[in-house]
Amino acid sequence: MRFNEKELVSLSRQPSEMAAELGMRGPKKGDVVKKRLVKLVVNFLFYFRTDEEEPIGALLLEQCRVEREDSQSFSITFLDEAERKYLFECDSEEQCGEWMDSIIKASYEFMRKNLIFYRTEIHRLTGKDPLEQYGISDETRFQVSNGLQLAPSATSSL
Amino acid sequence: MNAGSSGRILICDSDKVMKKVNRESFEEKMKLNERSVAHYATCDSPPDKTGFLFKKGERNTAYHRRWFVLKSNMLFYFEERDGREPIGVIVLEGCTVELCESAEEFAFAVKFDCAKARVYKMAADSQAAMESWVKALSRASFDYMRLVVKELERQLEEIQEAAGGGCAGAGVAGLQGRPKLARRNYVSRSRSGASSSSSSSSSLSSSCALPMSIPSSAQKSIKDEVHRENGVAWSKPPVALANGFVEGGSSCVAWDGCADSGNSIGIGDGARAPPVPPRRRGASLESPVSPGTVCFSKLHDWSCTEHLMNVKITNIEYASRHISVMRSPTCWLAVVLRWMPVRDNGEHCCHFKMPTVENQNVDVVHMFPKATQDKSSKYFLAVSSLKPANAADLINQEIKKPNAFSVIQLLSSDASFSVTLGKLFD
Repeated sequence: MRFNEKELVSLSRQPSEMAAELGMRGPKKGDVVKKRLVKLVVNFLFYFRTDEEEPIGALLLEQCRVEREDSQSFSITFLDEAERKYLFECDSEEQCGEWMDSIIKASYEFMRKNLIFYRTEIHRLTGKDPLEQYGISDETRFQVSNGLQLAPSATSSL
Repeated sequence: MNAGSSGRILICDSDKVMKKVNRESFEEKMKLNERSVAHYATCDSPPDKTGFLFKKGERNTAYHRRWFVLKSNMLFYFEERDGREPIGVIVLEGCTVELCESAEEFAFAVKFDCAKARVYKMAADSQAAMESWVKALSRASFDYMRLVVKELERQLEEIQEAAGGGCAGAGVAGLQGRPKLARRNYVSRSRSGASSSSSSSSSLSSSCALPMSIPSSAQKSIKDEVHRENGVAWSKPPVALANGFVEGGSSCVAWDGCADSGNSIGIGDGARAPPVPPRRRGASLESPVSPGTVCFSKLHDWSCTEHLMNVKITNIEYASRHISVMRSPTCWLAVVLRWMPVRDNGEHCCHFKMPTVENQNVDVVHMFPKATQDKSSKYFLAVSSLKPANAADLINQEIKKPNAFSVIQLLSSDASFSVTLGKLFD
């Protein structure tokens, strides 16, 4: 599958609050733990060899599960490949917790759920749709029903 | 060597390890959890938009018809509608979506702001489809979603606090949610006798409406008018920003001696300044600020280094002013605004003209002031959209809305000012 690598590399260079050297082990049998600079940017987890500018790789953090493995490490598994785990070893329990929390919140779908929650709640409390003033009420991605809008402007171009 | 379908070649390096490398550079290609990404494309979660589009090929520059699926900030494309696996994906972060000049009708382009970035050219089947896609793609980024979430989070906190009968009065004024506008702000010094009408209604007349899809002819004229040079500071201190995105204290700069703090527009519950909400525990990792108080004032601190463009507009005539703003590299759109002449009673208003097409969706610009050390101000722009059919409706609509948009300062005829576009999040 093709992807816009250059742009992803550029994305990986953006400043991020969550960036640290962690031990990382890939999901393949025989993979060992290696020291990597792990960086969270939008919904991607980039990993670099220490002191290298370009990332070795990226993980899109959608449809994944984050689990605690032991007091200082956690794993990421993707729902389509539950047996393949990416393991991350942190320096402390606290750091481990922070990373787990951050990764869970880094997913676009997680944000979308929050948005829908806030939108519904604000509407419940005030009777008004908070998105209306910005003119984005009909935007598909903000829909409570979580489905494609049937309004002509939002459906497929077919 | 095997040629991969995506420009990748497998080589065996000296350690006898098979690595994928780029065809062009023979550098190791970045890894991605492709299988899972492809799965995301086809899994049950509903897409944000789907449809056929023509996409210009990379090597083969013909346009190929592909089935596109937009999910969150990922634009997948399939060879066919029933394709099991996408041929490719375009990650939509740090890009702008623009109309483009092309032999193809209804063409638009997704452009990235990085070195040697690719431009993805696409074409739709109709004007409506094109506009719909441009809009959907412009709002697809994670940053945009984050922006909206933070705004709603802030609103909810405000509501909850107001409902909770929290502290009245005290607290830092105007830090959030309270638009601070004063009608008088629109009066230029050179015009005496400008009326000061009621503060609550008309400030919003200064808000800016922007056409979302600027036809290419208009885009050209925007470019003509705008010089990308170092901006010149505002010749006058700007008014505090409408939608409450005002830095604590110092940024509430008055003009024409007009006090700023009192003129908040009530949002139905009175003009009481909201108490500062407590800093959220576990501040959001996505941005270096916590939602609530600090959030928008910190906007000013983010130095949008490579994303800033200073736009200098010169020769503004008093009676009819254009403020042209360039499209920034980060999806914030450019606008042409036209100021109407001053009315007989001395009132100023601004009208927004769509460059060519009637009934176009109009985008409204949020402007956030950035107070700099010399008290000049630069604005960050964000875009949302409204759907009024014409400018007059837009203005009326804005006057009704609290939390709407800020003032653009009226300047005397020989003044120039700059507008800085910035990305709201690092």
